[in-house]
Amino acid sequence: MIFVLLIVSQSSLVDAVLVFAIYLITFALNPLIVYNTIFLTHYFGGSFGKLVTGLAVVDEKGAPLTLNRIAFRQAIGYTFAWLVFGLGFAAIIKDPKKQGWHDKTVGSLVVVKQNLWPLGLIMCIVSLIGSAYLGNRVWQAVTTGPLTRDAQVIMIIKQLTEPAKADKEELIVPKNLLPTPTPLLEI
Amino acid sequence: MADTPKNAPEEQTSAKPDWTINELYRNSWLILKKHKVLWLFGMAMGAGYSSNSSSNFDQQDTETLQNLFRNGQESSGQDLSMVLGTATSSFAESFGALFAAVPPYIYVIGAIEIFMLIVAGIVISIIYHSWAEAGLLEGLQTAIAGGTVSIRETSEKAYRSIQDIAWVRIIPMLFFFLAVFLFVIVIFFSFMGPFGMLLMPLGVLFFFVIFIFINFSQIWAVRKVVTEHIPAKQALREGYYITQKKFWPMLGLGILNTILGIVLMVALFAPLFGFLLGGILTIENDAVLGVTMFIAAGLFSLLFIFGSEILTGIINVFKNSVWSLAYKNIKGKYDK
Repeated sequence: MIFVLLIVSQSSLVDAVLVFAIYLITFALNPLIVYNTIFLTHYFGGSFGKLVTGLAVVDEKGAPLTLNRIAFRQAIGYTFAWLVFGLGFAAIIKDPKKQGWHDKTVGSLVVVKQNLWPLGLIMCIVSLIGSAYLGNRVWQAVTTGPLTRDAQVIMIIKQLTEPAKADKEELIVPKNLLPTPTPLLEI
Repeated sequence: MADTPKNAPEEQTSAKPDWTINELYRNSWLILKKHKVLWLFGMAMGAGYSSNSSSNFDQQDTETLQNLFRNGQESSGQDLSMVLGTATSSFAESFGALFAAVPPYIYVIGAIEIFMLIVAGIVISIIYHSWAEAGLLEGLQTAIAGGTVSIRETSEKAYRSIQDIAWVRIIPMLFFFLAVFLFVIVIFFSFMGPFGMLLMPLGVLFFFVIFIFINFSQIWAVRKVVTEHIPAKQALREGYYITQKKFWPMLGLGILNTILGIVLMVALFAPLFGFLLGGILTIENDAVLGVTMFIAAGLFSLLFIFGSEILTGIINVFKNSVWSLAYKNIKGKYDK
């Protein structure tokens, strides 16, 4: 959400595209981020959410899992658990050891290492409030920000460079564009 | 009572077949009913892999990020105004200018990352399907022996066979498709005229037979890997040997299994098609009936989405159970 706000808050489309490209290579396409839960679980015992709430992923004897098992659990176990609309996760409710199908594939257990549920609850509330605030800022930036103006200018260029359509259709110029014409723009 | 002549030829008793369809289907049905856990492995075998990554996005320092792109800001504004100011600039050029402002190294890094993700996805998909097949075969072995099938134990046993099953499934098909590709190239560049046209149907027939042989060999090979823990290459060789001996019974059983699978899928799919067709045919004359048909089709499509996954799992379990029971009957009989 922060990155979305950054993108739509840029003063020009060029900067917005640049920020989007940086976001893609830093987060969305980065294998270390895509599979970050594997590394977090291997080095710290759990993903970010589990760490914040004091949970840890261990094997059935209480020892840490090997990297192979963690990778199998995160990459393949989760896919297995998502069968039949995530029934593998719902199975945790009725299981005596509270194991999902992804846990059963590697023999892992999720245990309470520290009682940090208040911290988890606070983080949840903060993230909800933060998401709502950022979402509102994003909406405002999209509807009234400089990018909207830039995008409209691009669309005008498109209309101008398609003469057959430009003759037949009336060119509609938004009011907020009229006071500040670009000096080099020839209409 | 007359004695039988000494030199009378012995009655030739007809050799008892290694399996009967009736016996295989009956026992497979019993296994299918009793061990529903196997349906999960059957579904996993039939499911396509979709990247199921959950990334925990950490909050970044916005000032640091601002600094990252501030360097490009000075020239980017001038570039855009130059683009906007030129009357002859086309829309494509304007759009192209946007992406030209992104440094080339970002495209290079992005391409490398996409390539790495694709490779990771393929590897994970191979491991997932191999594990699912190994799990299903291990589970069937336990079920045939009369034991209780559980995800935990079945998965644990399946680990040791993942690599060999992946080898058995992938390597022969790689060679096969390479051969097909080379054949197509030869046909394409063939200067033999009418002989080239004759070669094509013969080639198609030849490769079709080879394809069936490979598939049949793989059926026995994966079972040898799971039950006898032998390496993939040896398992494939022995599977091919069994296929040579049992080709025609296998072909009959395979055709029956395929027909059964098709009939079941059609039975699930038919109401959806029926309601859609009914809606299309009746909407003009009777709008209420037509809309009702379309609503029913919509509901059935939900059922189909939900049901097809389970039905695929059930069909996979049944088919594999049939072959596993057949393998149990011939185990050790045709080993070279």
